[in-house]
Amino acid sequence: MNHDEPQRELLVRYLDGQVTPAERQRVAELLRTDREAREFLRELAEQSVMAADLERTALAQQQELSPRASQGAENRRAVRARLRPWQWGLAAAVAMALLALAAIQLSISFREPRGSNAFPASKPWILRVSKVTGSSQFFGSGGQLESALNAGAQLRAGDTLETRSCDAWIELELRDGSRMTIAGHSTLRILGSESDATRLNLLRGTLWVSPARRPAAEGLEIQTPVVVIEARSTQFDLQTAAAETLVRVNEGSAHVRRNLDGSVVEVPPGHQVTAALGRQDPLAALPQPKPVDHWVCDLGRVPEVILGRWLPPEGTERARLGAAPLPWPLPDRDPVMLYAAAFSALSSSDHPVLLQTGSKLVFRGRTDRPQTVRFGFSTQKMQGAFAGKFEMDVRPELLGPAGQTWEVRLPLSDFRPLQPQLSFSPDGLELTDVYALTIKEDAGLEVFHVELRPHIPE
Amino acid sequence: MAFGFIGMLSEQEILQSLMKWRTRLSAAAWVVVRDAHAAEDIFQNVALKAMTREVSFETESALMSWAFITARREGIDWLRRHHRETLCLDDDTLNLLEHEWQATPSHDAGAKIEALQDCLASVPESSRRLLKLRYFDGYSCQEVAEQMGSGLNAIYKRISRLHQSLKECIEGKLSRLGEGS
Repeated sequence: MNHDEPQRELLVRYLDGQVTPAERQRVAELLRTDREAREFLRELAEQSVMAADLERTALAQQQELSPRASQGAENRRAVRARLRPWQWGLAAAVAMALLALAAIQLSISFREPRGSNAFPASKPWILRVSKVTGSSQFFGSGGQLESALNAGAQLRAGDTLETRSCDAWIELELRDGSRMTIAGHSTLRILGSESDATRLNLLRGTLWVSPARRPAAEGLEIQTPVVVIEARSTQFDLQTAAAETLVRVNEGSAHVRRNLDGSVVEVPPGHQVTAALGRQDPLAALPQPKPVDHWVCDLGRVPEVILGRWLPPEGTERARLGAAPLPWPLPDRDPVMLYAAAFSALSSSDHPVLLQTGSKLVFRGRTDRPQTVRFGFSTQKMQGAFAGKFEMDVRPELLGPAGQTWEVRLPLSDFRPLQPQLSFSPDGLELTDVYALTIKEDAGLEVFHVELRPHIPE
Repeated sequence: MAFGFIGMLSEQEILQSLMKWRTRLSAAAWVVVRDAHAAEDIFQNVALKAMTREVSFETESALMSWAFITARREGIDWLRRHHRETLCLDDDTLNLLEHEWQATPSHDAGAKIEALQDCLASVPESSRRLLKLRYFDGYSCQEVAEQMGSGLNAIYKRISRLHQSLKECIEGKLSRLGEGS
């Protein structure tokens, strides 16, 4: 079929949403059967995104030159004038591949010179950092990479945060006063703030949300690889991996929609919903299960391992997890290398794991060389928000000869709180993850067994 | 955590491929959502997922198959969130478009955008304004017509002709670029 101008106009009208049902049918038939029509549509689509890119770049340069122009741009209709040159925005995604960035930016550069700060500081902030602990990274939508994020930093659309160590967490404040905390090994991207909702994307990890104590709390939309959660004035937490998300609502309610089929469920307080990519069963809000005080980490289940490297079985130890290196950036100093193995209690048990006075954490493992081992765990309030981390060091002489298997039984009361302002004692809190690490030196740390044993009166 | 398996694309290779295909992936998302800013967000989400997911890609074509599918899913999800599901083309048509995008030799994304920029320099100012209003500011054709003091049908005709002439201009420039190199 010869592709003529009326057909191209029909496609333009179709894309404008101005066609009758009969014309819609014609468009569908045309695109099914006419290669030239499809080629025109593909070209139109490419031109539209490229034209928007060019406008974005031009406006960014204009903003740098004239603050008044930037103010004018903000008043424009539409998202629309969000200035996020894509090549900078993608930097947020690059994570470890930053070395590639410069070369790639050059290969697809626009001809106008780009300022190093094309990303406009005039964009309103969406989240503000209240506190940072441990190893984290910030990938700015303007191309910035920061290893040392500081309290007070303001985060805008397109920025990405990543907590990298087991003992890391970041406390954040929203504009309406709501607070959220992301735990270690989490990646959070700020998508934007539109209408009256803040939109975030939790790609992996754990996040707690505590709403502002006032009626004007804004809406919050959090996307994960599996679901979208919409909530307002709701206290909830969620954990997600690439294929599974768990949402637990403790106060208020949340609207959870599964990406796969669009099915939705309203999660009332005290309930939770689990969605997994591989499961087709109906999305259902179920009462949160009762807590247990005994937990054995099943090292054979991958979701329970947050960090570490698998080693072949040896002797009676079928599951051996070796510590993996993890750089821990320090402000104004060279980073310190940690060698850590970490396990999730949240992912491994259908029941919350309750910490009690008198309970003990039991670790069985080995080090090749004499080295102090630091043991730690993270907590959250039972049906509540992040409640802090606890750690203790065990000197090598207490572990026995290097190369031999040791078992340590560590009373929870011996662990020191890293955030005593949150929780001075782990008693009554929920266990979220457990870790063991050596600092600076790779001592060949291996962990075979992790267990929480309740206090048993004699 | 990414591992460097032999025969798998490295993070750098994944990133390079995504950059090379960036315009097409964004355009594929645009066909679904018809919003250039949302399409850009979707491309960035796809890139983010490609860099952080645990599954490796053996070849660029495997990566692109995954990326087009993911961009479409993200686009449909965006439509759902904005209650515009009815706008979406049927799966068969989207499959055809994506297949042709993958099967057609790809120019470097930067070269094509530079070609477009050159071509835009040679069209009247009113045509550049038309593109900006329609695709950057996101106005409907009726709103564009009102702003430009023109009739709706005339706007449809102008947009259609403008895209076609830009297509021919871009192809010419890319062709000369290919001969030159």
